[in-house]
This record gives sequence, C-alpha cells and structure tokens, in this order.
Amino acid sequence: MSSRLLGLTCATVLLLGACAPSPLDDQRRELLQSWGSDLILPELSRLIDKSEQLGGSVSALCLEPSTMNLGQAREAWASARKPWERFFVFDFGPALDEPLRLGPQIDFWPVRTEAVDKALNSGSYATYELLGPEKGFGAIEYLLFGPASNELADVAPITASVKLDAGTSSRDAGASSLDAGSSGPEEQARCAYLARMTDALTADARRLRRAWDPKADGYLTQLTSAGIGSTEFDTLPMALGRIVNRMGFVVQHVRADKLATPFGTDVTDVELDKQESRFSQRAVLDILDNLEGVELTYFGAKTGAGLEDYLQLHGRSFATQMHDRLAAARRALERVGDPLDDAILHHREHVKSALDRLDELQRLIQVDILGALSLSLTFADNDGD
Amino acid sequence: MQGSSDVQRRTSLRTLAERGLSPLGLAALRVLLGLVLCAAMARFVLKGWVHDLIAAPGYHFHYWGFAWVPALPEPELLAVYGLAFACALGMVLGWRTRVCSAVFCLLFTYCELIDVSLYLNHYYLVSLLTGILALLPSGVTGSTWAVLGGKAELQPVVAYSYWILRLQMALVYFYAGVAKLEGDWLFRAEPLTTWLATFADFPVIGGVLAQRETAYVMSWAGAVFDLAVALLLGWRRTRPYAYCVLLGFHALIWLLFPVGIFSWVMVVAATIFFDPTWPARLPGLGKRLATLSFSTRSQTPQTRPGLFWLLVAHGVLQVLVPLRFCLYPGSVNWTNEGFRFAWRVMLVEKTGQVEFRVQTEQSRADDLDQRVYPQRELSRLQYAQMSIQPDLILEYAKSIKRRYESQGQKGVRVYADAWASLNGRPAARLIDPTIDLAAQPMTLLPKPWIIPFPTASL
Repeated sequence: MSSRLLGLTCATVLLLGACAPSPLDDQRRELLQSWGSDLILPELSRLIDKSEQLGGSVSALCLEPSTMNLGQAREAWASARKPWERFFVFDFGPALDEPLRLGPQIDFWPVRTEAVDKALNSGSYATYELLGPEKGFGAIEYLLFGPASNELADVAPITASVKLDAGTSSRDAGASSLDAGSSGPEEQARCAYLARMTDALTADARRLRRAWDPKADGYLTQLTSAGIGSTEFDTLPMALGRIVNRMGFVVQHVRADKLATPFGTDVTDVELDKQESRFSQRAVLDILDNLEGVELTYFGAKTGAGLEDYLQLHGRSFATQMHDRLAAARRALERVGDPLDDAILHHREHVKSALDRLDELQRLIQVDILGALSLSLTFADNDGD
Repeated sequence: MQGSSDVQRRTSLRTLAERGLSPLGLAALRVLLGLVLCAAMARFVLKGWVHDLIAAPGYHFHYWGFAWVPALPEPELLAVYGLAFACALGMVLGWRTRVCSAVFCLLFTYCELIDVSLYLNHYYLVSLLTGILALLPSGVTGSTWAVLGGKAELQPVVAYSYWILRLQMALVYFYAGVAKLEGDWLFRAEPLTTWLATFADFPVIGGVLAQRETAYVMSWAGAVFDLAVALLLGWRRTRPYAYCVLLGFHALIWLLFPVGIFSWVMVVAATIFFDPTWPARLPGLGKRLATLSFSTRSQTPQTRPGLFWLLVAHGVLQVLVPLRFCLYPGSVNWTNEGFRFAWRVMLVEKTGQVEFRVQTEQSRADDLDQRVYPQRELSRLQYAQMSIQPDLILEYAKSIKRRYESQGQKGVRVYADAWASLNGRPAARLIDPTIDLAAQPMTLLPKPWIIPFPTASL
C-alpha cells in the first residue's frame, strides 16, 4: 500500500504541479495580434496624421485668417475625429490607466467651456502643460466651432514674431513657441491657444501610439503575451474578454452617455450641453464612427482578422445578427441625424428608436457573443466553479 | 420482538460509530487542508482581491437573513485575512488545531457572507470542513513536528469523526453528479462543448478537446465519476484506482479551467476516505507513526452524545438542503432558485445583461424612464453575477428604490430589463419587465416574476 501511496503522491505532483499552461500560440493570440497590427496601430497612426493636418490647418488659419481657412481647420478637426472614434473600442490601458491616462487628455467631453475660457482669458495656456479639460478635441472644437469661432476668420494675421510650427509638432506639448497670448488682441490669443492645443493633441496621439507600439512601450505586447509573461493579463481569455467587453461597453456608452443623457428622462430635462461634439454638430457622426470601430473589431479590418473569424473557427457565427443589428442601429441613427439637438427637441421618437436598436446590439455582444466565447468564467475576478 | 431488534440494530450502529480509530487520517487532513488554505489566503491578498472584490465595491449583495453582516474597512479586512492565514498555519503545525479550525471557519465564513457575488461552492465546502474539524476531537497531543518525530501522544477518535467528513465529501460529489442528469449536460454536452472549444489550440490534445464528441464523452464520464467516486473511494479494493481517477479528473479541471484552489481542496479532502492509518504507511514516516498509533491502541475514544447528534443533524441538513430546488418551479439553472449550497458545480455557461428603469410620481408616461446602469457602481464580478441571478437583481432593485426615496422621491417603482443566455442559447428575458421589483418581497418563496426558461434551442 505504501508504494501505491508513493505513486499517488508522485502522480499528484506531476499532474497538478507540472501541468501549468505553457506558452502557446493559438488563434486568440493571433486575433489579438491582428487587432493590434491592423486596427489599433493604424488607427493611431491616422490619428497622428490627422492631428498634424489639423495643426497645419490651424497654423494656416492663424497666419492667414479667412473664412476658407477656418472652414479647412474645421474640416481637419472633423477628419481627425474619425480615427479617434473608431479607436474607442481600444480606449483602455494607456488611455485609461495612470500614469499616462491619455484618453481624457485627447478627448475630454462634454467640453468644460468655462475651463477653456478661463485658460484663454488668463493666458495661462502658454505657460504650463494643459490639463485635460483645457485641451483635446472638445476644447479645440469649442474654439473652432463655438459661439466666438467666426471671429477667428476675421482676426488680424499673427505677426512674424510669432512662429507657427504646429504642423511639425516635434516639440513637446508643454513648450509651444507661440506667444500670441501675450500679443494683445483676444482673437490672436484664441488662435495661439488653438495652436497650442493642436500641438498637444498631436503629442498626446504620439504618446498613445508609442504606448501601444510593441517596439516602444509595448502595451500591445501585454495583450499578445497574455498568459505567457504579460503583467496585465494573466490569461488569453482575460485579454480577449477585455476587448469583447469593450465592444459592448462602447455601445452602452453610446446609448447611455451620448444619446440618453442629452435626451433627458422622465424627470430630468433635456441636457443639450451634455452632447459630444455639440458645437460641430457631429454627435451622431461620432456615434457612427464608434459603431464602425465595433464593426471592424468584429469583422476585421480589410487585411486583418476579426472576432467573427475566431468564432467561425469554433463552429459559431453571429455574422448575420451582427450585420443586421449594426445596420438597424445605423438606419435609426441616420434618421436621428445631425444636429442631434434637432432630433432631441423635435423628433424624440427617432432618438428612442435609436436607443432601442443600440440596446439590441449591446445585448448581442454582451450576452450572446460573450456566452459563446465562454468568457464569463474569466470575468469573475475570482476562482469560479 | 421487532422493537427489540431495532433497538439492537441502533445500538450496534452506535457502537460501530463510536469505536476507536487512529486519529492520523484526521490529522493528515488538517495539515494538508491547512496548507491549501494558507496558500488560498495568501493568494487572495496578493492578487489584490481583498481590495478589488470586497473593499472597493460601494455596494454589497447580502445573503437572505444576513444583511446585517458589515464589510469592514480594508485594513481590518486585511487583518482578518492575516488572522485566517495564521489559523490555517496553526492547523498545519498542529497548534490548538480545533481552536484554529473554529476561528478560521468563522473568519472565512464572515468574508464569504459580506457579498453573495463571491459565492463559490468550494468556499462553502471550506467553511463546512473547517467547521466540522473544529467540532471533532483532535486525538493528537503535540505538534505536527512531534507527531512526525514520533513523540506525540495519540488518542483514538470515534469513527463518526471520519463518517461525517466522508458523508460531506460524498454528498458534494453525489449532488454534483445528480445536477448533471439533465438535458443540457447529457444530450447537448453543454456547457462543455462551449468551454472545450476554446482549447482548440491546446498542445497535443487541443484538436481532440475541441471535438463535439469529446464534450459528450467528458460530460457523461463526468456525471458517472461524480455519482460513483465516493462509493469507489469507500471500498478498499477500488480505492487506489478511484483516487487515481480523482487525481486525473481534478488535474484536468485545474488545467483547463480557472478554478483556483477547488481542485486542491477536493484532492486533499478526499484523503478522508483512506484508511485512518494511511499516514503511518508513508515511506520514511511509517515506523515512527506506526509506533505511536500502536502504543495507544488499547485506549478507548472519548464519546460525546451531544456532538454525535449535532453531526447527525448536520448530515441530515446536508442531505436535504441541495434538494430544495425541487420545491421551486422551472429550471434551477435558469431561475437560480435553490442553486447555491447544492453542489451544482461548473454546470452552466450563463451570461446576462441587466439595466433598471425607474419611475416615480413625477414620471411622465410618454418619455424615457430614468435608467440605472449597475455597471457604474458594481464591480465586474458583482455585475456579472447579478445579471444572471434573479434574487440579486431583486435586491439591487430595492436598493435603487431606497436611494431614490432618500432623495425625496415618492412612489418609486423599479423595473428590470434583464436578459440572459444559458448554455449557448440566444439571449432571452430573465425578468418580467412589467413587474415593479421594488414592491416584491425578499423571501425564499418562488419568484413568479422570473420568466420561465426559454424552450427554443440553438
């Protein structure tokens, strides 16, 4: 019997001790890799390009104020929104976690107009690193599209003593070479502040890409090395679950924060100032870009893999449901259309319908797809039985 | 004559139950379980779960009748876990083992009672095992080192000390097996099909694991194993083979699924089925331990009638409690009524989504209801658990009502938009959205507002 017991003990040690998961490649890792190389990094590169173009447009506007240049700056701003909103599925890690926490630096909304006005009026924007509410897409939008924005087209050109090199954007965000804030006219200060912010936007976009880049700070490596050395994700299902959960969260965020909040409820009034991109009247387009990000994550970018590919490999597919629900949500949102104010005030049934369609899309992701992927086991941040 | 025969049978059963057995098997269980629990306590703290799962959430779900259990602040919680670790260490070292088991049981159970969303079957089992060990005579005078050195004094322990623990373990396996005797497990091989599909890339056996046939084989084998293993462990001839299978079974579960200490607890606790002298047969220890047990063989164990009947009552309760799901209508895996404390282990793949709509006296009928998004307040674990468990949804709905009322709102009604998917089925409504949950009583009675299990298949 003692030899049997010895055998049993050895078997226990061998089975329980030596069978720990080994570093393996599998389709989940390939999918994470594909999301990184085909979606995350390209979208961030596009964001950098577009924010540089925005910086160039703002420089042009400030050097040669005109309605046309103001229009081009506005277009450049709207153009930079697209990659950012599509990236939103991946707005975690360096975008959310300290110390970088770049998400609110790049896009703090709803914009705090009083913080922007205060920084502008005090001239403080020129002397220290801007805080989240004082910069980013929202603050830039407020200056480019806000109540006083048309004055930008009428401002006197900034003199040669003020160098505008926002487009090159190689300098640090905290060291703008613009000093128009002290040059006198309020409009020139506004222009200088804008240039300062577009610099900061480009710098923050660069920092975010660098944070993800496997060749630099490498947060992407945290995802793709899940379970085999990642300090962030103990297992592959955790990494995959993070992204699938984010897909669901994006839809919920759109419903709850981007639509329902400004819409108001049965006891709260309409809150138009709680909209995203309200000065540019791009709120619905932002949402459509968010949904495009979800779609790309699910179906894959042109050359990359998507979640559907992984599901199909395991005998499951939600392609039809996903396609139908995305299409229904888009149709409903297009009926809402921009400006969102108009629908909220005059076509509330359209907004309600969009909320319902988005609810169905969220349910598909958070209940059906998460269940099919068996990711709930890993969501319990605890041992499960 | 019949009466006298019954009395004789009862007497002989009682005599059998109170006969003396070596305490070494019990002592080994204490030591091994203590080791696992030391690791479990350290792991819980080191993973940051004290903060993330207990201290950080601003809201806690309560067990029925235990809403009074407070969540201590984080420093005190860490002290609780530290003390529990020390008690588990005491069990290992053989220092005041019954006191250590009792204090560990109280501390661990307290931590579990703080929040229902933390419920795990094996945590419940740990509370039961340590509670029982606190009641049972130790039979050992001296530390574990003294025992290993052949210097401790042993007292025989009553046989029912082993019986109650064996019954406890047998019930865990048996009811886990009974729970598997249902359509999804046997005839759809779910949730194993879904779970195993994620292991397609596993080395060597990945391809096999992902096959549907494998899921069927493992489902049926798992059910047979759960139903039969206690019997096979109880019979001397089959015991070694059964324990080998048990090792393989739990190793596989531990390897494939994030079950934490579950496998270790079961592997250790199953040693209670061994002959009580089994530690004396370990190589290297055998002679010394055998001498110890031999020197005390003539002594008779202390019997305590009160303890005997207490353990009988516990055994009866443990037989009945897992069966309470029969008192509720509908599928227990869907309604969760009677799901906990019933050893329904690794049985469902269930995901859910729940939001609450709130109406008050001020509500306008033609506009959007106020919505409460529980993810904003709850931890991921809490939300995931609540979204699939109707009683937690009810409790949260009531907390929403209290919150609104504390803000001066009147006539508060709370409705749930709750959807769930069970074992790969399409999402279906879990809760009747027209029912004001805030007005529903919190009882153990059936909940008529749970929408019946959808019959639609994939």
